[in-house]
Amino acid sequence: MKRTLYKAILKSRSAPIITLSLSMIGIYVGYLIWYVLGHYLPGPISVYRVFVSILAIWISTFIAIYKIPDQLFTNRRIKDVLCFPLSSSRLVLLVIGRLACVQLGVTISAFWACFLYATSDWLSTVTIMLFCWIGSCLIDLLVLLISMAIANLLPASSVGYGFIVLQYGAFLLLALSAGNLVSEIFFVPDFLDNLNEAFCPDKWLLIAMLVAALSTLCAYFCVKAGYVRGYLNTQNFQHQKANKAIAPTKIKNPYFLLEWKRVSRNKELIFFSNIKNIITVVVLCGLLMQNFDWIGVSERYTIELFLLVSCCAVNTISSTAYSSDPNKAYISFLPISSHRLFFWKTLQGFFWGEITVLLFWVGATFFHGISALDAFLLLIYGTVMNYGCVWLGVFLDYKMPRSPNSTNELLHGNISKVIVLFASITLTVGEIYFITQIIDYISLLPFAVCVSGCVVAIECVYWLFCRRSFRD
Amino acid sequence: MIKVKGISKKYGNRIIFENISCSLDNQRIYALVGVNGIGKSTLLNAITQPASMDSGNVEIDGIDNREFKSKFQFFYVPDSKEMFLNLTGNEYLKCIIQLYRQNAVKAKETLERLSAAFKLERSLNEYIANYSLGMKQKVYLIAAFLSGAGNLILDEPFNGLDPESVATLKKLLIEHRDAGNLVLFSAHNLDLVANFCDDVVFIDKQRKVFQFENPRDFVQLEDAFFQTCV
Repeated sequence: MKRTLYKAILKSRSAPIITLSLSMIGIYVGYLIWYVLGHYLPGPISVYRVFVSILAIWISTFIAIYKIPDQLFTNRRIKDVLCFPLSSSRLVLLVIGRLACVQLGVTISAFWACFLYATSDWLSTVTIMLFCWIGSCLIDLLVLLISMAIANLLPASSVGYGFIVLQYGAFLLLALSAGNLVSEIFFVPDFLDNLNEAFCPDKWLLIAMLVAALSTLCAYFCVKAGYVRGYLNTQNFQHQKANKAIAPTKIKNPYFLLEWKRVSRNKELIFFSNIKNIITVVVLCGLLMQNFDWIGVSERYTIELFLLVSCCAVNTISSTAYSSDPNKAYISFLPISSHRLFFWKTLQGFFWGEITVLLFWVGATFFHGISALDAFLLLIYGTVMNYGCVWLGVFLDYKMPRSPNSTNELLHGNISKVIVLFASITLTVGEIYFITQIIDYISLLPFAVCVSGCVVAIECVYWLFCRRSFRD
Repeated sequence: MIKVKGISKKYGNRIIFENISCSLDNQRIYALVGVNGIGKSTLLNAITQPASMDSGNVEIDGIDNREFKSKFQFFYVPDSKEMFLNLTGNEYLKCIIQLYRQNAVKAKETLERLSAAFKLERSLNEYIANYSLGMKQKVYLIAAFLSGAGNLILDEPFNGLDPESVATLKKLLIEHRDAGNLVLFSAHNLDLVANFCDDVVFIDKQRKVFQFENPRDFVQLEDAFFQTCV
């Protein structure tokens, strides 16, 4: 019954081979962590247990932040089972219980290899493991309570944005804290020793158990009182009816109309694409400004080029051009040319991506005091790279059609985005290397503009002459 | 005119069709009948989307359906009523007029006539997502008539329609046939099939396709159905 219900509400078809593969990967990664800690880092291996437990909790938190709002609040399938005689606490317990099992797997994977290296103090290791797992469950409950608060307190018109802020904000916070923690452990002397001194496994486990018991009780009553109301409120965000009169469109071109409506009617996509890009650029800016000296590249405008390229590469509208198009199944029997549709999808992604490029360019020009010619070249570079990245993103999404399993737009097109980011960063690194190491008499910016122009020209030529790749 | 020659379709090891052929002529209304899950929609998909069949070929008005220009010869209304929900009814219909390269002035007149016939004039400026099932069905059917395509392929077109709209649709389909065109629709209602179409296309229990002239008699048609399809 539990398994059937889980399948019904999560459409989960967990094949044993996938579970086995994931377990093998977990076991291997766990072994690799302790192998590196045991062979390449100073000090006894037992001092790294707290560090590994923080990493395991970090991974568990990441899973919880994405899974809980996604499976319990934005999941449309729950609506189908709400009419059954099924209590809300049972539904929530089903999801949280499965999540706790996954997190137990993460904890075991992270710690099992520790027993191979530190055989003497196994009781302490088990205590830390237990603390790690109970800590993860505690975080699940905390995420559940925050999600309940968002779902119940925010109005239906903005509750979806609340979840996005929670998921993406928490992800950035986690990424920053993990980055800082790792750098402090490796570069701040005595940090790890102080951490170990402050952490007393028995005491902390007891505290965690007490807090977990209290949180469970609190979560139980909250779920009873407001889960269904919060869930329905969240669902109303996705199925809102437009009450205001809709102005007739002036767009004559059917391709442009289809693409414009695909994006402009999907306010989540616009929100994710632009807000997420801006936040990512701000965070990247902070990280690069702090740590760029360490890389040792002194060439002018290097940071600006990196940031502009990152801006262009993380374009959700282009990397989800096909996979998030609800009409893609119906296009095949209409006289719609795939070749032309590809062009209009690229243009649409370019238009939305250019907003971020312009925002960044205005900021860089006015706050960095760049000369007029360089500012112009920077704008040309951003615009050309924007088109280049959008083209690649749309092309990857076209060639690797995926139907997103999740309704969460944050997770769509991530593979394409990573490939585009990797390709564009590699190109920029290549340009910098070429200028600094091979021909140092040319400035970086004009050279980068020329190279990116060539890339876009190749893409355009491919689109024009390799029509069979975009078969109708 | 639609000619299906030796098409086959498999889903994994499950054979849906093997070497199916049939020929559908102009000035006829064909009803495609078969039990649930026998492959009616698969056959319609094979006719309209060449990529969905494994082998064989389909000609629509003498043009191979793998060629892009064949798409102008037919209009397909699938059973899914989730198409173009992000457009308003008007936007969708104007988009269809432009995609099928129809004369704007003439198409506007037809649109006004059809929207009045289906009583949809007031709702055309709303998003299709906000339509009821019947309204969605009507807007997709209006699109079919607006496209100017000679061959209308409709998957369960009477589903969700009120009795008045059923009568309107029947009248429009007959007009379309009388103008020298072809209509192929799938249906489960044998009563409607017996009283309305010219020919019946059965998919039998061996998943073979055969067609015969409509006997115009419900009992006779029902007997034929139970003998061959069940």
